[in-house]
Amino acid sequence: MKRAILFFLLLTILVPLPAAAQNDVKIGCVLPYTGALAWQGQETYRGMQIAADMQNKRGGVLGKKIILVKGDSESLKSAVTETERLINEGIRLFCGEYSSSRAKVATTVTEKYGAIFCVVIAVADDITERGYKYVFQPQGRATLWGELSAEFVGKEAAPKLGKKPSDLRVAVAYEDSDFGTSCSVAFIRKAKEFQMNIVSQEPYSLSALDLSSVVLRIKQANPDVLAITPYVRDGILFLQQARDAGLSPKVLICPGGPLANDVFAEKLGDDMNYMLVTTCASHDVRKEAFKPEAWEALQEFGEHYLKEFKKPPTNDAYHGFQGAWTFFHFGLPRSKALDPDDVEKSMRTLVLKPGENVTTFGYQAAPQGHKNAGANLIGYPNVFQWQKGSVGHLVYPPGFAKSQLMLPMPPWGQRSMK
Amino acid sequence: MIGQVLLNGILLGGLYALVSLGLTLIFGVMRIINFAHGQFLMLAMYGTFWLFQLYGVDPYLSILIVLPLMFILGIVAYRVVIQPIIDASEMTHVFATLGLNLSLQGIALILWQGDFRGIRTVYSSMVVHLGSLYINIPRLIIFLCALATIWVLFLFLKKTYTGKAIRASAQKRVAAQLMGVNLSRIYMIAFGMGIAIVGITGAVLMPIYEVFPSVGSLFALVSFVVVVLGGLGNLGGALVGGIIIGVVESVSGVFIAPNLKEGVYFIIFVIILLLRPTGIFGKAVIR
Repeated sequence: MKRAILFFLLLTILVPLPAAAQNDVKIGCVLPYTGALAWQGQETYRGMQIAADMQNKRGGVLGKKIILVKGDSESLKSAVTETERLINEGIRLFCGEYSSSRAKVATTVTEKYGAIFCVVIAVADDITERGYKYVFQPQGRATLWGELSAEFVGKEAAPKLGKKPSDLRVAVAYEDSDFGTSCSVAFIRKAKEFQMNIVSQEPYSLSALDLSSVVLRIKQANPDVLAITPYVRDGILFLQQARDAGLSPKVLICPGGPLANDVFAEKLGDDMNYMLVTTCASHDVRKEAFKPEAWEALQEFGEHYLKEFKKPPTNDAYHGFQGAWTFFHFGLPRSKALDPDDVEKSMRTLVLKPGENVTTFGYQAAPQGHKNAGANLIGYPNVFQWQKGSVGHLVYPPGFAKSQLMLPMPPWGQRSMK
Repeated sequence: MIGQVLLNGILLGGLYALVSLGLTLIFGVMRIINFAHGQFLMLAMYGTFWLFQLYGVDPYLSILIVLPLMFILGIVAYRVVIQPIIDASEMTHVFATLGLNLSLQGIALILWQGDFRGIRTVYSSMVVHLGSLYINIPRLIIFLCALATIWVLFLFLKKTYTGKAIRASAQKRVAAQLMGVNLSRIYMIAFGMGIAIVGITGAVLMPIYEVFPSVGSLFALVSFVVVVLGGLGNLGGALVGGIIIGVVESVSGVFIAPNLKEGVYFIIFVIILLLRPTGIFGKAVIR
């Protein structure tokens, strides 16, 4: 019996792994698949999975097929334990994370083990503010998102209202995790540079079941512009309660992406029209602004998603796809080998001009020693406007935008566009 | 503005009370804290959503279907999970209901994925104005529904034989058994009723909230606070506890800071428990 066990053990040690396993490259996808952010995690994963499928169709990376392995970051704690579990399984390449707070703790684990983490959605600045070598943030960071939103209000929205930026009364509301706070702090900083008047600043808890107090405080401040950075559930709740209270600023902009999700239209219908969203998703973009290969990949993604999920891609799916595509299609194939040090060099030296990738903004990672080492230095997002029940109307930056900006926003119930 | 703030708080309190009623009924009778309470709410919300989506059944009318379905589900859950451990330690109750919680959430995730699913009805955005005050109609309906449910439950417990047997079992288990009450049957009915009330709650929440697999966790925490504050097992206590939490949340959200309102109601919660450890209307339990 003992001999049999010994023989079996030797067999498991000595017999090589099946060829299929050797020809795979496993990539850990740490995302919230359960819990309050499960929907966002699922959509992000869908985008990443399509990016992997598309790259596999093109021969994979260095002859290996990409296999995505899920790790559920349902909470901060599970973001750590699941990342550690994947590390223990031998995975050294990671991609994902939706929540900035969870991205911070998950990347602490990967950095400790010298593993690469390509953060596809989370945009808080401090993810890349810790001098980490193996963390990349290709979709830009909150400062750029917040600053671009304030700049847009100062340069494009104010003239539409017939006001100077210094005459604008601006209220800022945001869920108080890293994501909402980073976008909003950057927005406020830039708005102050434009001499806008910040009349109300309202952080709130993401788990709130009632936001009428936030609405009442903002209504009391009587703003021209409202910059709100929520996630999805709280965003719908806020807008419903703002509608009940008749809070209707002339400009409503979301410096983060969640307001771009179609769920908002399902709940609020035509009342979503005229609202503005800053996001890096590449929809309603001009074909001529992209190189043919990038345009083709973008179209393929849209068709693939539509075929599989019977609806157009959501904002989060776009983000997941774009971040993963930068990693799978550009970062990994140009690496000498798939060990973290080679991949780090490849991601660090990769430069993509606007239009060369599936994003409008290109890619250039901040070098080591930079305040945000690994963040995309040119990751400036776009501003979209809800028009005719769809968020797919790019109004900024001018070079890529196909749609006309329509402001001021009419009161609730009068926003129908035929 | 203070009038609107108080009104918002009272309406929110009604919502919290309704969410908590099933929990307090089950605890009051069986001395079991049902940690799967929020997940039963999630299932009721999904039931309402699918009835609307597939058959166009109005969320309020769907109560007629969701309520009996949830009652049956409650009975099944009782027979499969609760009955085998009813006489075990409190720790066993905690683990069993926590396990049920995770299982139900996992099943929902497999069945319906993480998608947010919501209902838009003609009355979802209806608002009535009373001078400078405004009231959202679905929120008013939730409040009235909370009052009606408590009233019907009171009548049932006071006037019917089964209701009296439930009260007797809640007051003194052994004495009730000696008087011929079939304890196992009464527990099963009480658990089913508690879950059926969650069915009503799920249906009336759907016009304003979205459903997704973890939505129950959002409501579960506040319902535990409300039930403990009002007094575990006390129906009137759930209403008073709910309104206190709702008003405190609303007032502190406006006059202190929105992101500190949960902190404020937890401070008040702790103070009340220090003064009255059994909650406002709670009594010390003698088995």
